[in-house]
Formats: sequence, structure tokens, C-alpha cells
Amino acid sequence: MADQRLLYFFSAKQPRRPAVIRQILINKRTVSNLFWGLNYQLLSWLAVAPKLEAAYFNQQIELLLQTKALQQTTAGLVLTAAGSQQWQLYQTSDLHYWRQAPQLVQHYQVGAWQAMLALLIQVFSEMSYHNVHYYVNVTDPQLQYWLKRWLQHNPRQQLQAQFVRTLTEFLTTQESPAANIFLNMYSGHQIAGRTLLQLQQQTGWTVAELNCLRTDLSLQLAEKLLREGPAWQALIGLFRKNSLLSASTAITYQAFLNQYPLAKIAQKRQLKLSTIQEHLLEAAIFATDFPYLKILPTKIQQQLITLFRGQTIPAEWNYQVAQQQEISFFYFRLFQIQQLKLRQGRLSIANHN
Amino acid sequence: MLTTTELTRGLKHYFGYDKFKPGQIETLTALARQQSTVAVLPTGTGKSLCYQLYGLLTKQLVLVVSPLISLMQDQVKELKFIGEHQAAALTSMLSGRDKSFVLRHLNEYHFIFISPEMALQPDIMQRFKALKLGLLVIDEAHCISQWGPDFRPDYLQLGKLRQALGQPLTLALTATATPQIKKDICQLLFTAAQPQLVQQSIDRPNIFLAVESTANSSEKNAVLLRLVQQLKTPGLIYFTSRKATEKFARLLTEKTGLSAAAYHADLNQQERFAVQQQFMLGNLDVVCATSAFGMGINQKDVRYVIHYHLPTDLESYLQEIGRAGRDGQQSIAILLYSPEDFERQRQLSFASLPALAELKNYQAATRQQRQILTENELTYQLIDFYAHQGLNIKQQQEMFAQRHQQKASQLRTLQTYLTLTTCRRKFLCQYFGETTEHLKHTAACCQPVGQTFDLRDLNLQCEHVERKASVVLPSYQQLLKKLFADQSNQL
Ligand SMILES: [Zn+2]
Repeated sequence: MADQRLLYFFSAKQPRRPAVIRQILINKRTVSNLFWGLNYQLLSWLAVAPKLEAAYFNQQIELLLQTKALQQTTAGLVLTAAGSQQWQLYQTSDLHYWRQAPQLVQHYQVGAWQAMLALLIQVFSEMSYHNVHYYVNVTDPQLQYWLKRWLQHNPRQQLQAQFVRTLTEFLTTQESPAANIFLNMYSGHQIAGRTLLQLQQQTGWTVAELNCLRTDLSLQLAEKLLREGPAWQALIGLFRKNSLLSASTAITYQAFLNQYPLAKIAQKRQLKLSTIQEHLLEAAIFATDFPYLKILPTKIQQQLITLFRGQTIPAEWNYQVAQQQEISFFYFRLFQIQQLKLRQGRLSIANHN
Repeated sequence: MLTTTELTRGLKHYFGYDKFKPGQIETLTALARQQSTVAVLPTGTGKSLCYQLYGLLTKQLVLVVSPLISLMQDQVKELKFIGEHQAAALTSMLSGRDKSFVLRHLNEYHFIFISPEMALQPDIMQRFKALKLGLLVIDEAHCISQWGPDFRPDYLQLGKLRQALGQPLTLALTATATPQIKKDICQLLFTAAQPQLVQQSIDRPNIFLAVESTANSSEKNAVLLRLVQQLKTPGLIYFTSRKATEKFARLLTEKTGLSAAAYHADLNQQERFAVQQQFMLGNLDVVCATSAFGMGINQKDVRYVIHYHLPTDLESYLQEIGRAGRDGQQSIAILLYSPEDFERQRQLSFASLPALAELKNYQAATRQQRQILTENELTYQLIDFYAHQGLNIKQQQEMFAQRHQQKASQLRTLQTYLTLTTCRRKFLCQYFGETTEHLKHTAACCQPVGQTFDLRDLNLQCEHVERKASVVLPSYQQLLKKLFADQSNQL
């Protein structure tokens, strides 16, 4: 049977290109991919499956086409009624786990945070039994050192109580099989966690789904702990990044916000002007308050509005129309992004309309 | 100088034991006399305790070169467990961040574990030169010998490392060493003064040695299923692939209700720890493991070690069965095989040895092509290594032909062991160059081909069947209560 999880990424109304979807999932951050990801409203899924192989993905798409869950159109693939029904069945079944907070993956060093969480649970568990002799379940010296310092500089009893309370509250808000499975993965005082293979046998969920559950819940728990005060912000801050921009883009964007002209930024950073423009397009895609007016001349904006008046789907605009008016691709794409985001915000289109 | 009394007091203080195991005190007193030592101590006799105790008592920096990352991590954990927190493992697994952290704080550590390839990096060697080393330890020293089962080319450079560090007091440790391997260790590691040799017999009298020959793999599966249901637990079953460990962990749980787990190098840290902890807490009946992987925390009461696939050779076999019966109680090692296993093992053994075609390929390749070849294939890495050592193609060809013969002979030895109609224990001791006059074969010693053995006589038959595999997962509420004591008071 085909991998039905992939159905989620398609829409009945909007034709989508599978290649773009895979690039988003494996975090291939070209401006073109990001633009289409924005258009598909799938940017929250960036980097969620970095190891998704092209061969596997294409084979699954092929299978979904054969079974008529997806259908080919000239502009891409659309979800059929049958596909939509399959997805509904998959999603509502107790036998599957579906990620609730994909957007958090981009914000965290996932592996390191998971190791820290395992360490936290163990250390607080042993602490509650006043036991100091135990094998630590995480070997990274850096993580051990961070935790040690953190516990030295903060009231540990209070942190422990906060942790247990937050964890308990968090699990209460989850569906019960997921909450049970999640906690069974962890080790503590006289308690051994379970491996994914063991859990697979006991629950019938696949290892991939269990893995997904583990990252999804541990990241959501991190977000909840973040709200427990400065000590937690300090600890979790070690694993969390606020900006989604790549480092180089962030520098360009900051310089741009500081009123430097693009040519000057390019010169100072020894980069091509076209690269600087790509950085700004990336920034426009991610930033919620991108100052479009600062870079897009009013005259050109007016021209573009006139050119595409009545064409309600910005992603379908044809650049050649703008090119004939000698408008650069940069301005055209920037305007497209702005209009796309405006419409998405205003109409709040759900993923599966 | 440390006296025997001080050593014994230290043993009690740090490890809680009253008595040293054979070989430990000899090794420690040699080190106390500043005498570099080669110690051949069988698996399970506490090799690492020698340098741990030496470092703890002399408060000097101990640098341990070790080939396996998992072994290093386990050592660091054990040291931390006994209260020595200034221990770290410098491995390629460390992130850049962690590595630079350890390197910045080098002089604060008392124990540093390092892989050979990292120890040989010039900048790192430079840093160690600047420190005062109390003891250099070469763990698994048999890796230095081309005649050994685990030959690692970079171990050949460790003699140079030792010289670069100013020939510090050195302890070379190994569990198994044929006379040839011992000679290699002494010659390649110690150039000037020869080391003292401390050696214990490789024989573990409390491990019964058995072999079960089967007609094919389905019969082998049936034998395995029967055995695990009869044997006292816990036990360890070795396989050669990750896939097989998972398949059988699943199968055993389903068919026998035993609680089983798969253990292999692809598990993440959290899962690896989970299996170790399950084993320690007695929640597991059996672990299905790959041999490439150390078992981590020492489990003393393993009652049986079964090999589902053939081991590479007798050296590794001895290492692996050494995990049984560390508490001194009666245990058993059973080797299962069917005729097709030989072909499989032959292929595995020879796969990494370069053939003439590959040598010629390498010779014809440009520098860039060589880079690509060596990036992806072990065979070319080996050729590349020897090329850099200055061996030409002809010399390499001769050397690899020799290696090929060596491996073929190891396989023949293994085959002889399997089909032995006389005492298996005597055969093993002879192979490792030990005298065997004192050995008396009895029904409690081993099972030569054609003879049967009775688990009840060995006191290894499980009397009442107690199945540990639980079908139902505890709820998170139950787990929270167990994980955190006095929860209600804290809230
Ligand atoms: Zn015998």
C-alpha cells in the first residue's frame, strides 16, 4: 500500500508539484522552492523529513497516482475524492500518529534537545529519590555540563517541581495512546525506557510514526517549558533559534533594515547583487512585517497592480507580462510574495479547501 | 610507590570489592614500579579496573586509546558512576562544539579516552605533548596485529605516538592474544625497553562450550526457539546484521513470550541506554545483539551466549562468549551453525580484502578518482593507507595474499572447532598457546561432536516459566508516579 501520509501535502483545488513538496520536506531552501512552499502553505513543514529519499518519494507518488488517490493535471497533481477520503481515514485512525507541530522542527536542534530532555527526566527522577549514584543516559560532555551549571545556578527543587507539573499538564492535554507511548520512551530511577522497536510491537504503530511522535511531543513540551520562566528560557534557549532565516540572509536583511542600499550591501559583503536580492526574497517569505514599500518603488507597484488586475491567483501570474514593461524579476517576485501573503492572510485558506 | 595495601584499600573504596581478580594486582604492581606492561586478561576479568584504579590513586592524567566509541562512552559512564567526573571521550562522534569544549579543558580531566585516528592528529598530539601524562593505555591492543581479527591500520602508528609523547608509562591491554599477536604488540608498541607481560589463561571454566549443527536455517531457527525456552535467563544472542537482531527480537517475543530487545550500532543514545537499563533492572530475558557492538554496562549474570551466525574467528568468539557468567556461576556458550553459514562467513571475511583488480584500479586512478574511491569503500581505504606507508602495488599484492591465507586459515580453525570430537576447551587453550595438561575434560566441561549435554545437569534449565514481556504499556499516570517520588508533596 502506498504511503498515505503523503496525501496530506496535496489539495483538491490547488495543483501542486511533488518535487517542490519533497524539497520543502528535506529543507532545500532555494528561493523558488520557498516561494512555491509559501504558495502551497506548506512552509511549516520545512526540514521535517531531511532523509526522505527521492527514489522512495517518487515511487510512492507513482503508487498514489496508480490507485487514483492523486490525479495529474497540467499544473501539477491534485487530490481526488478517493484520495481525500483515504486521508480522512488515515488521520482519524487510532493506529497512526500525525505530527501536530511541524513548524517547531525548524526552530530547534532536535537531536540535542531530545537528549537533554531524556537527561532532565532522568536527573529529576533520580533527584526525587535522593539518589546520586546512577549511570547518566546521555554521554555528550557539553549537555552534561550545561545541565550541571544550570542546576547549580537555579533553585533545583523548584525547577524539579515545575518540570513535573508541566510534564503532567502537558501529557494530560495529549491523546492518551500518544501520551502513554511518549513517556514509556524515557528512563528514570529504577525505570527503563523502551526502544522504538519494542514500542512498535506493543502498539502497532510504525517506527517512523513513533519517531515522529517523539520529536513532535518533545518539541511541544519544550515550548510549554519555555513559558515557565527565565531559568527555563535560559536552558531551552540553548537549543532554540528564533529566526528562520539562514545566517547569511539574516545579515543581509539586518543591513537592509538599517537602511543600507542593496548595492552597498553587496559590495560590503562581497556578494553578487542577485544574491542579495535572493536574500531579501527569502526574508520577505519568512518575515511577517517585511517593509515592501521600502524596496518596491511605488511606480512599479502601481504598474504591477494594473498588469495583474483581475487575476486573483498570484502564483499563476506570468512574468513575461511584467518583463515586457521592463520590470525586473526581483520586483515581480517580491510583489507576488506580498500579494500571496496578503491573500492568504485575508482569506485564511485552509490546507484542504 | 603504591603498596599492595594501598591498592587493596583503593579497590574497596572505589569499587567495593575486597579481592582483586587474577591478573589485576600483578598489572597494578608492575605499573606502580613504573614498569610498562602488556596485560592479557580474559573478557570479564576487569581489565579496565587496572588503569581506573591506577589513575584514581595516583591522581595523574590517564590517556586511553580505544578503538570503539561505545566502549569509551561506557568507560566514561562507569567512572562518573563511581564519582570521577573529570572523564571524557574524544571521538569523531562529538560535535565540533563538544570537541572544542573538551580540548579547551584538557588539563582539568583525569581520564581522557580517545580514538586512535584522533590521537594521531598532529594538533591534538601537540596538545597532549604539553600535558604531563601519568599513564598511556592502549586498549584492545591486539588491533595492532595484522594477524589479529580486528586489525586496525591506524593502530600501527601508536608506537610513533608513544615516542612522540616521550615514552610514558604504558599499559597495553587485550583479552585474547595468540603468541604471534603478543609478539606484535611488544615489537610494534615498545621500541626500546621491553614491557612486562602479565597473562591470565583465556579459559573460563564456568562457561560450558557447546556447538549445535543444523541442516538448514529453518532447523536452526527451531533449535534457537527451543533453547531460549529451556535456558535460564538472561541471555545474549549474537547475529551478524542489524536486520537479524530486530527480526529475532520480534520473533522471540511473539513466539515465546520472552522479553527481548534488539541491540545494534544504529540505536540512538536514548534507546541504547534503555536496553542497558532494562537488562540491569532484570526486565529483559534476552538481548539480540550484533557483535560489532560492545554490550555497555557490565551485566554480571548473563547465563548464556548463543551465536546464531558464525563468529569471524576464534579470537572474536572467545571475546563474545566472555560476556557470559561474569558472576562466576555456571553459564553456557552455544554456537549454532548450518552448512550455508560457511559460505556466508567466507564472503564476509574476504569482502574487505583488495583483489588484484582493485589494486590495479587504484594504481590507474587520478588523485581525484582516488579520493572518491577511498571515500566510499573500505577496500580502497586499506589500499590507500598502505600506499601512503610506501608500499607499492606488488608489495601490497603479496601482503594481501598473505592476509587472505591468514583469513582462510582462521576459517579452517573455526571449522575445526565446530567439528571437534575431542575437548573444545583444550583446543581453545592450545590455539592461544597455553598449556593444557591441567585441563580434565568432564561432562561439565564441554560437548564434543556426537555427544549430548543436559541443561539440568548444568543447572541451566529454567525451572518455572516466568515471562517478563508485558503486553500492556503502563499509562503515563502510572509512570509519572514511579518516575518522580513524593510527587504530591511537591505540587
Ligand atoms: Zn572439554
